[in-house]
Amino acid sequence: MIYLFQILNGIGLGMLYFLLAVGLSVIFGLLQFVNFAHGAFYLLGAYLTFDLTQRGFSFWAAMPMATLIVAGIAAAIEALLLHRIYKLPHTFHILVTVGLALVIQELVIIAWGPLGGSVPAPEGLQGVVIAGDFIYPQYRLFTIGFTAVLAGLLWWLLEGTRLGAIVRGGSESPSNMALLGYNTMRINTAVFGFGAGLAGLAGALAAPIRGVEPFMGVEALSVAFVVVVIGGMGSYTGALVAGLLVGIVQSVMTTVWPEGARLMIYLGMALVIATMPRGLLGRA
Amino acid sequence: MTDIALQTRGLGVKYGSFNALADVDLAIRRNSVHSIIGPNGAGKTTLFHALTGRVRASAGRIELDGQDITTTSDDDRVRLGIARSFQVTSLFPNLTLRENLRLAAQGRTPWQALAPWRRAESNTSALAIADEVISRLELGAVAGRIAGELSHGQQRRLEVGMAIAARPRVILLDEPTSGMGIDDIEAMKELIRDLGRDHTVLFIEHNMGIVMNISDMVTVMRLGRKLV
Amino acid sequence: MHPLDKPAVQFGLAVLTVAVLPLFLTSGILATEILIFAMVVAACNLLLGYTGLLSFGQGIFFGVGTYAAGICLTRWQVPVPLVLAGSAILGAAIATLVGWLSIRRQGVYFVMLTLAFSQLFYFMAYTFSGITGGDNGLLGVPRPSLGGAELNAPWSYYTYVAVCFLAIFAILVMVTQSTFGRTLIAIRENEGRAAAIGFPTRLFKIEAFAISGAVTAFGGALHAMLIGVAPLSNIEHHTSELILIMTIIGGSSSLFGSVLGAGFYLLLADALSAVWPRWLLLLGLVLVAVALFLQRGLWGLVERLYDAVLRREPSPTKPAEEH
Repeated sequence: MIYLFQILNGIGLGMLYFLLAVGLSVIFGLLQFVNFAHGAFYLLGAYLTFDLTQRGFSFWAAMPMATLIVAGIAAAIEALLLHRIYKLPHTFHILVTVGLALVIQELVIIAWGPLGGSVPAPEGLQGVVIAGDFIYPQYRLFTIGFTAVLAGLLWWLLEGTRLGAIVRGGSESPSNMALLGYNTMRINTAVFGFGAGLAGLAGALAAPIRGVEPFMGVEALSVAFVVVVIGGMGSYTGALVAGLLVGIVQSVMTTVWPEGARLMIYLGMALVIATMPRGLLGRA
Repeated sequence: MTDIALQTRGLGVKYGSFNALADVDLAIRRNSVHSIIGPNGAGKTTLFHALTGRVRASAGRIELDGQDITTTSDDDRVRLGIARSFQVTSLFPNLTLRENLRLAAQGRTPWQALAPWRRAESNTSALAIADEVISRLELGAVAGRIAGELSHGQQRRLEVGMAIAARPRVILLDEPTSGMGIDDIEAMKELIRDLGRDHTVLFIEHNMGIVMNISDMVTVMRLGRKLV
Repeated sequence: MHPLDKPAVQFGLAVLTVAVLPLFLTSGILATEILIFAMVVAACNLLLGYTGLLSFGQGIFFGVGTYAAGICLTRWQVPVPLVLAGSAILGAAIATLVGWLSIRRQGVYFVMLTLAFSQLFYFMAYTFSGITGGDNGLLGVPRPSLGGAELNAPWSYYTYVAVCFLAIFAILVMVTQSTFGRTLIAIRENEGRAAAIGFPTRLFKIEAFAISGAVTAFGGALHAMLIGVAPLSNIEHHTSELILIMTIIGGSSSLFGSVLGAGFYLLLADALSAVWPRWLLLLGLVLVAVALFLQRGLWGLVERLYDAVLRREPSPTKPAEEH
């Protein structure tokens, strides 16, 4: 029974990792740019949710607001700064986004202090679900359902719409896109905001589960990297499978070997890389 | 020793489900100039990739002087005596012309270069080969120039020189004259003919004038297969 | 080659740094820390500048050296020279493993892998707190003694570290000038061609990792003796980030640039952190500015100044690409 509990936890956690990884993937797909500030956007999403609920907003208002604010901030950063550095070698992409992550992290500490806090489960979902002798928090069940719906929407958006085609087309040849009459500058801004917004949303959803603290971004970034490395960048299915796998491994290990739970994520990744250098789904 | 330097039997290469190369039987005679012609997409460059080990053969076998090298890695094949030039110039653009050639000569004995205490200049034979190639290519005047700053014709000649500096028995030249002016083409033709005296030369070319002029043998390819 | 890039000039500048630091700094600890990070950053530069590998995992090797020194010195009283040599060997071994796994993927995947490995080693140190002391670290790491004299005073330990630094710097200069170093540059320039002319490029990259890891662990061991602790923070993500930032700020085209990068960062940190605990905010802005305006780092600035002041004619610049 404890394992069922942990597997459900793992699915919830894994879906958040999936959101993070898809955001990273979308940005990389269009801009050929690894966003090292991705964890910072996750951090910001969580803290904005924390702040808004403290101010008396309902979680149901705070979550979308936090997501939109993060997306807006990210879009502004793209429009003002990032578009200037796309042509530089990726060393500088990393340098700039690491710098941005530092700025965001320090601003968070200045605004909300270094200690962190907790976000209560939203009204209506504070109880537990009871089925026989199985008891599970309602909010966690909600995140699983909600992220599953989101995952469906994302699949439709990326595989079935013009936006998805643009994201994929743009990654192939920016100048072709311009020829087709798309305003690539504006698309870049929108996609960066969208990808960062997904990170912000993951942070907002995670806040009632794990609370907020200023260094949660670094951990989120490296887990997103693990997911992307084993699932493949630009692969929707890969991100989903790898995200769930990482989430479940981490949760189940919390029962088996609590101190080593997070270590196992990375050992698992090392094992995958040692045996399957191209990742689980065998893509580059 | 047979008279055949390089031989393939039923050679095939797949990219995913696409058959880039199928059933290619080749026999390249020692110290001859053998050209490969065919339209774009005929699999000529893929054939070169397979022969040098850059891509794995999915079918058939490759023999160098009767020795099976089908599964030998690309850098090991250099040591066995196969060297190539590229269709799209591929140099070390920020290093000097002489350093480019020194590296190419060093590539025959790469293990030596793993020693972090050994000075590059202590490998006098690599330097000697580099200088010999420089004079053979008549590039002495620009030997100290950065490769990326050379003219197109000079870069193309250096591209071929990189293959020569590996001291190969079999040398593969992928469109050595592409984009060259008329004078440069004449010089390249002379060079290839001259190489054919002491090397086995396999080269891809579009210019039929050159092909007819200097080839001992011609193979025609189309759609990944050998026609003639 | 720029005249400032000559090996003798580079080594001369390193000697000058060792001589000048005591004249300008009152804190022997800060001066020593600069030299330790200078060698560690130069080792990172061997990967970034010479091989073209952006490693986000240098903190792994730094932490490994720190713990090796901490364990050997607090539990077993191993002689210091042996500790330093052992740290370097262990650093090389772990770097070989991390390098071997990371270079299985290229480009951005490689970078992400090195970052993930730095988390792996951090959680390992965190999880096995019986060996590493966990959050508390290993306390009471002694400084070395020489011929019976304890080097406890900051400036006498500085001298010890300075000798180590110059030796390491000389070794790194030798490595970059060697046939090995020049092959690394070729791999950075055009890996496909380097493989086509016969170099087993993966082996070269792994060796570069091993050398870098050895030097970094060596520096980590010296650092544990400097601060008297083997802390968990030395193996954290933050340390890896720090080393990389110093490398890029210093400029990756020369080894001495790394000394500048380490010095600049640590002096800035020392000055600003006393004034404002949230100074990392400013550092973030500095990183953005470096990417926009100072892509060749502080060393690029030095080269430009040198050209402007000492050379009549400007150094030959590359003509525009012909396309």
